[in-house]
Amino acid sequence: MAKALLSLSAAQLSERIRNKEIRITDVLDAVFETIQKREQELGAFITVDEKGAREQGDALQRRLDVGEDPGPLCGVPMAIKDNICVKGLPTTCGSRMLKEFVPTYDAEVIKRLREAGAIFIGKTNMDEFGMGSYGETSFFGACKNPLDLTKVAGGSSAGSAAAVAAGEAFLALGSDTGGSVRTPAAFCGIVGFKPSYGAVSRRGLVAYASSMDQIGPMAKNVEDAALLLQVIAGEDPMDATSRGLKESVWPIQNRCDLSGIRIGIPSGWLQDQLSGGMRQNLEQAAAALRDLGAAVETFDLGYEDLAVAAYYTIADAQCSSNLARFDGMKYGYRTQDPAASSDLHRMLKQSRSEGFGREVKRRIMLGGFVLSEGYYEAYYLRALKVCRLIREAFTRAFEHYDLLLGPVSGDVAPPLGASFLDNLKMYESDCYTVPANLAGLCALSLPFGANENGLPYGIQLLGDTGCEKGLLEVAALLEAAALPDGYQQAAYGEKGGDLNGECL
Amino acid sequence: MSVVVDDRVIKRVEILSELSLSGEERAQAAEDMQRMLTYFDKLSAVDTEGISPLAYPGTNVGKLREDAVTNGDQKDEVLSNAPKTREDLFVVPRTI
Repeated sequence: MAKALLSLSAAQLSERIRNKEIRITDVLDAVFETIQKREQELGAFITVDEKGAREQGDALQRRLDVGEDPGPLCGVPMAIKDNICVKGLPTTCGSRMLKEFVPTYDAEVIKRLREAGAIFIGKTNMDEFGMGSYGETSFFGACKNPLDLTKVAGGSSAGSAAAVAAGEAFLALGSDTGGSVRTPAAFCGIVGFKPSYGAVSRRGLVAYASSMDQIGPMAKNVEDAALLLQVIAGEDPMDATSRGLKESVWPIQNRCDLSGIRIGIPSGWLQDQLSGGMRQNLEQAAAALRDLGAAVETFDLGYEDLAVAAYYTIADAQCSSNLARFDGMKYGYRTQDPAASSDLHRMLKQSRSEGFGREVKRRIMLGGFVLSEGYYEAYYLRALKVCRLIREAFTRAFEHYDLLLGPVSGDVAPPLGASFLDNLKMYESDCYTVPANLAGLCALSLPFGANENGLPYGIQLLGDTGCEKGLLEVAALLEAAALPDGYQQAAYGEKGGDLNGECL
Repeated sequence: MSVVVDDRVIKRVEILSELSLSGEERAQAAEDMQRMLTYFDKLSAVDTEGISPLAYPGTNVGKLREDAVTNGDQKDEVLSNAPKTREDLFVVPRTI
């Protein structure tokens, strides 16, 4: 019964709960049973809130039983990345600095999800403050890949991807500053979507790099990602950069084919870094799009080799400013060293030095340097100018193409420990994902094929700012071509779909 | 722009970042920073003459809202996050 329930998509589940074919308590039983079975080996969650989830479930069921409709995500168990504030639940950002921090308010996305009937089952593991590509820099330990426990889950929204792939949650929220939704989605074989900058409010998301941070859906399939995006997106007066979606994205409008659609592949993304397997799968994705009627060709985007340098200059600068607020005074970690208890400045420095991990300190220091007198123009300002050039290159590209196609990463998930071997190599692996953040584009990671060991490859579709609707329509068609029998749930390797009355 | 990251640079960055590093951490930080700044140097080869910086990719930055308190009356919840409190106040080391 549990397996059949867990093989449903979020949209299917919500529909059956609202039709009173499934009771919420049975769904929660299945989810928490899976968490109990798998969590010890995975490390996908930092906080599991079964009591709170049961209370939410009971309240929703009572509303259903008296004929109310609590919303499009009614009864759907969701996992939330631990840098998004949920009132009353710890929000640690994967850091010792915020180990004890409990927000006093809900993030805007959480408010919207509550109104849509979603159930929050816990907060997921992540690279500390979002700083990592593989999900290993968390103070609480690495999150492992549910498809192969010797591999990374991808970062920084590692736990969110692992939870969905392992059947611990039907949906999850991640945040994407330079690929943090798309990379773990690709490594774990699920769908991850980074909305255009401003589509989703950032209020209640702990800031990393404010000009690029964006909350995004992580889901079993494209339809679920669209449904979740529709719920969380919207203008919010509390986030001056938010503007919502240009068009409604759910339900996804079915297209018969892709005739008339032009898709470009930046040739700079087809260089040596790409593994043979990834290249082959990208070619197969291009062929599948052609079969559906799209015109697909490679083109010269320009500046592909500069995106990582521009991104890390900007991201580190902004994180050094955003993380300056953590001082151990009003909240957060404070050193226990008695020698620091009588010296305010020493307490501040020592609290930060003990509260932040190595990768965070590395980025804060580099960011502080590129913003400092004498270096600001040479580094930060120059990177912002290169960012403008990259944005203009995409503007030119979207004059010719409706969408762009590329890899999410150069290969499948690497072995555990990859984060600590060579930090620059890890940064360079973000070369396919950071351009969308620099330019404010929407971009989706879609599982497409797998290597001989069953580890999935992720391909990426990118749309211009505000073009979520078209992108999701194309992604849904490509997904159907890739998985003609329906989505596959990674941990169970089963087809999604009909319960055949098994549990009803 | 070629920068040599020596001990003087790292100490300056420690002050800017409000961090205090051990000797070993300082040496590692210098090595890491040197490597990254050398990597960032590839940006200096780009002609950015006349290009305006792109600070935000959005188009509607800077919208204002009414300055109204919407989350008052949370004193106890806010104080419960503090490392040390006394009589509804945050306690920090003596400053004067």
